[in-house]
Amino acid sequence: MMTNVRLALLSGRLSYRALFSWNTPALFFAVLVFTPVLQIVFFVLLGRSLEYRDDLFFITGNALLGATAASVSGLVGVIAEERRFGTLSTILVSPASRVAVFVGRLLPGVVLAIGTAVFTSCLGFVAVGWPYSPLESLAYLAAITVAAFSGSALGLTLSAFGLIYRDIFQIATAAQFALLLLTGANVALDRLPEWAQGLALGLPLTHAVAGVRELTAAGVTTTFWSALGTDVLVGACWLGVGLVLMNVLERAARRGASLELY
Amino acid sequence: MIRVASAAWWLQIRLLTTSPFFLGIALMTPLAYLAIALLIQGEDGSPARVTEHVIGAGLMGAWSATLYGAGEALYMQRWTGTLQLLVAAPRSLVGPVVGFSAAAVTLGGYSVVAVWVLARWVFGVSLTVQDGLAVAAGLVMCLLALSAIGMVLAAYYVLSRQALTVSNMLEYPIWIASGLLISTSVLWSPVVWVGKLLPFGWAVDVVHRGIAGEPYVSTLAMSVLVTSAYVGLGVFLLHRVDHAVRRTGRLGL
Repeated sequence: MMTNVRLALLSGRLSYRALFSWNTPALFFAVLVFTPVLQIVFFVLLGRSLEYRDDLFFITGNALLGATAASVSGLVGVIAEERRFGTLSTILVSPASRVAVFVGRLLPGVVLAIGTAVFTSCLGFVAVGWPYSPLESLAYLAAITVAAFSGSALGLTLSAFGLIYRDIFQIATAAQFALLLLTGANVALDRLPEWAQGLALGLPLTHAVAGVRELTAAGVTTTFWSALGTDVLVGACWLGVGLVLMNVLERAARRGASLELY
Repeated sequence: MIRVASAAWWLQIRLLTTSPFFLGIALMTPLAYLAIALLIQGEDGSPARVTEHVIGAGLMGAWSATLYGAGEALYMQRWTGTLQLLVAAPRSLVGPVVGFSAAAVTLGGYSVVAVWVLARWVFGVSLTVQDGLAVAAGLVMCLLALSAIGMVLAAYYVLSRQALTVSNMLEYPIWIASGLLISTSVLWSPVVWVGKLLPFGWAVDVVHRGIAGEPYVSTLAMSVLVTSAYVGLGVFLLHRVDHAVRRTGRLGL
């Protein structure tokens, strides 16, 4: 257990440092802040343009979405880049736990995603007037953390397909659009068709967003904690599926000798 | 130069159309945003508003395709080590870059048409335009404007290793400043002015005027003027970049 934790932390630290061989820190942090802020601005303006809900609806929805989406694309990116650099097979023939290696590489990204979501939320809250008490602010932070966790679990599941499929970013992009559209972050669930509402219940983030809507309307209630708990449960289910898929698809990739294909 | 540009266009088209990622981006981006706009709007939208959303969403996809397509083209040249060969060839860098940009914009054209077809099929909406000629002229100008912006960006992409990172940052600003999906009446005035500095913003305005049946000739003329200025700027920058990378010898870094 401790070996795997050490492996995850070491893997995360090394890959995070390697990131800066491709990105200058200034540009990296600009992207980290600039794009999520503009996403919120875009949806706030869209809401105003179509006279739908208030600014806070889009600020909180997109801040949570940012934490989840970064977690999803982070893990998918890890496997896609390993394949691109030809190092995926080296990792898979090593005796180290793959999950520890990949999750370790995700960790810095998740921490940054949470930080970005907090930062963009603060900017939005300052602009529209702080909507939460100190206790509610902590509850909001818990919702962001839960969203990042459940997003990571979905990311692990999707990234497993990177072991057998080259264009994994396509799957990640589709997942991000599904989160954008179906989780209630930008459109209230009751406006979706029934089949889409059913689908949304199985996605990470949906319940965390519902929890934050409850937090905004009524404060820290049992409904809020129940929504967050459900999101953790959904994330745990995706995590289980991801771990099984990793195992099954790794064996399929070894059998098909397809890891070197790019 | 036309022959080089045509060859680059054809090569890049073949590369882009074999990439599920690019085909997906050109289709999924506009569809997702169109769905959000239509769901938010509900039953309240006027036919003109719905038409603006369908065309606006298609143009959002066209901008994404241009941004990532033009960026990816030069990024991959750098990645595979062929960018040096492209620069060292006894031809101007302008030809291939025009071809790469035009290929990305062609994919953008596919985005506009595909969203139009799918909007009708999936969401059951149809387009209502007062002046079809103005809308057609506006759409052509939109694609030319995107090509011109692609050329200006390409000059930076040749110099920079971070083309894809920069691409990520530029998606939303142009969507916002050009008034795609969002009515310019809710934009802050400095943002509206930024939109006026872009050829794409003028071309989108021509499309909106065509949908509403408003006079558009002066806007179209401005669109042509600003697009031409961007083409001139792109050619100038590419020549400067061509000289700079030969002098410094840092292209392979």
